[in-house]
Amino acid sequence: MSEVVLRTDATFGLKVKIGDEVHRGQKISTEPTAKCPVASPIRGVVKSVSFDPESHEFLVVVSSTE
Amino acid sequence: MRKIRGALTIISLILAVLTLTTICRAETALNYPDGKESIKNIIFCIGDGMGLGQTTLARMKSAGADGMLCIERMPVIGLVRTHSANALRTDSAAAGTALACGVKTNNKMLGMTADGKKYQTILEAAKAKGMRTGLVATSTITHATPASFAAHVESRRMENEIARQLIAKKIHVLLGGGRQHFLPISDANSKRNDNTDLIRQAKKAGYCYVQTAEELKNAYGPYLLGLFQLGPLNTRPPEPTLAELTQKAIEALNSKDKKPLNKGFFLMVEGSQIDWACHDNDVNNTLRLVLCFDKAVKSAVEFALKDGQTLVVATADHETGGLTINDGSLKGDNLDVHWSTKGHSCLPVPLYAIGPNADMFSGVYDNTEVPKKFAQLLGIKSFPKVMD
Repeated sequence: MSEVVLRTDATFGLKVKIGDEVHRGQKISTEPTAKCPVASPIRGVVKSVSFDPESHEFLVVVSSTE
Repeated sequence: MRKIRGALTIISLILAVLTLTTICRAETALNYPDGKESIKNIIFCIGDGMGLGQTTLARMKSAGADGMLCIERMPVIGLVRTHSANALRTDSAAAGTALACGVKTNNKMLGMTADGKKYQTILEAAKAKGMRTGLVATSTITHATPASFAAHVESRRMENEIARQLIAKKIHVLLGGGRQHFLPISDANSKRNDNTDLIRQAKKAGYCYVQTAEELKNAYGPYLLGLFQLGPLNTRPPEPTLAELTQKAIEALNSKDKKPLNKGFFLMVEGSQIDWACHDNDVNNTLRLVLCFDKAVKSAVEFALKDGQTLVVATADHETGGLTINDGSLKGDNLDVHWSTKGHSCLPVPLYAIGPNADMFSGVYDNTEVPKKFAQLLGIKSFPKVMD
């Protein structure tokens, strides 16, 4: 099963949590100022969410169900 | 007789009005003094992401409902609005820029407005006035909040460039993490993309350089560079604590060396990782890190009380997590803690102040007002100021 790691600015909240099903193109962050809002490129399930302090970003791992 | 009574009434009224005017003027004078002669040093403590929920959690867990943190014992309280130029939810870069430069900018930008105009920071203005300056943080020293006081870049991610600017500016005391941004690319631990050896440059410029708590004990000022990790600090032994770093920074900045002459200092101390614990919605780590920050504030306050010419201001750049406490015992057990977000919230943050002219910091105001008040107290005339 393939996975993708999505990174999004942690200033803003997340629209997904661990275990959520996401569809292709679904936005995962509430960031209103992003020029290109982060969206899942695949259909799948959110496997993990972690905070990276160095970049001040959330790392959202989505496992594919396609 | 009636005429005399009428005249007396009018005179009494005039006297009453004059007296009231004088009292009001006196109060204004008390609240907004020139400040030039009374303040020598400013210690500005920032708990990244620390709102009322975080301090309440720490107080309840460490001392119960009737206890008090050191920060809560500071006599003057204000409330600070935090939005950035382009978002209601600020990040640390935009909030830091507001707290350092007195201007709003977009999230992620440091030391400049959204149109790219660079603004002098309050630390730079203090240094230009002949004061000593210092930055202490538990993050990399090049992270958004400390960087906002001494760097001017379009993105907070430009930590290598920020490191270069910190050393080039010759800030007297720099204590924190982030050695990886100061090492040349030839070093296996470097994150730089050039061969600039900033640690070597710093030593050549007269800095005392240290990497461990033991080395820090024997370190001396006024130029002191301490980089205790490649990345952020672990905030655990054997590293020096934030309180120890704060004490050492004060000692170095307040030393009696003649070069440069001690004309007072401006020191910023950040409890950087409260924000990170709140992004993780981690109650125990949030508690631990707020208490670490509170001990650092205590060090600053103890120095200020002895010194008598030092203003200490403690606040946050924003709140993280939307932390609330819905219930629990008076002893602080079984707290029902809720997080409303994993990101930052839009809530105003508390500000605490103690020292000469601390009363200037009461009330509700914008974060851009904080450095303007510092500038007024230090007798810095032109602030905010676009850089040449």
